[in-house]
Amino acid sequence: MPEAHDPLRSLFQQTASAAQARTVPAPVARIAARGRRARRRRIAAFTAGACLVLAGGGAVAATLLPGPAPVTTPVTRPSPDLPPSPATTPPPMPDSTAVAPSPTSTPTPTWPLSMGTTTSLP
Amino acid sequence: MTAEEFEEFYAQTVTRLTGQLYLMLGDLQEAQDVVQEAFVKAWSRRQQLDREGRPDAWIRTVAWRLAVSRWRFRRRSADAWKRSGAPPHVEGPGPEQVALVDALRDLPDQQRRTLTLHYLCDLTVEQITAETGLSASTVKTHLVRGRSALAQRLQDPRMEEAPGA
Repeated sequence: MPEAHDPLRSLFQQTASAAQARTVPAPVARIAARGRRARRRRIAAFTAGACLVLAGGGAVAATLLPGPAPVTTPVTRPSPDLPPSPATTPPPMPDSTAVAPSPTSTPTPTWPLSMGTTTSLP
Repeated sequence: MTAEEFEEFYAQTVTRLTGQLYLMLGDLQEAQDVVQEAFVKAWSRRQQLDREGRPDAWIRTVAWRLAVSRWRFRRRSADAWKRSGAPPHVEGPGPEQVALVDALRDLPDQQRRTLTLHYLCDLTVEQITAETGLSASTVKTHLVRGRSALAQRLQDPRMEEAPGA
């Protein structure tokens, strides 16, 4: 229990009283204004943190979760990059620019007929 | 605690708490600054203050922690001077008071805090234990050693004779 006649206690109290007399307390309006500002800053920081967490979580989820299967289109022609294979090469088509043999322009040799007309025996 | 109750609480306690922190810190400007910061923190949570029962103890603890944090991070209190302006011309402290503050500055932080809580705030060992988180034996050791150290520094044998705790 505190003792009334303790010289150390009296000295403490005198020193504190002298300090109180020299104290110029800030007006309470300034304290309230600073408290409001601090509260606004805290709320803004909390909101920004929550947004960051949500955005980060969304980004991680988008990275980790499997996406939709890719659409596969049927192959309609062989790939031009593949080398031609003789086994799979289709037969060559007749060249449309080549001249076809015509029966009127080129006579067909008839071997047995000519032999039959020139038989003359000595 | 409503806004009006907070204003009343501030008007009643700010100078007393500043005087207490002055003895704990040894610097009146720093004491004013940390007490003001503690009241700013208290304003935001003033609705919980009366539920905790001892709002002045809460302010004192927060102000002390702010001061310790400043010491650790070596923050200068020049901004406090700029905010509060030059102090008005008042009567300076007497030689005994200056000697006490000088002697307190030489003591370890927790010892200085314990002595102030006991000799100025009239707290018992149990109350000091609750406020500081120190054990009862540590508080008693701080009180005995602090009183002995102050008696030596102030060269007053009456202090050593009088039982403090």
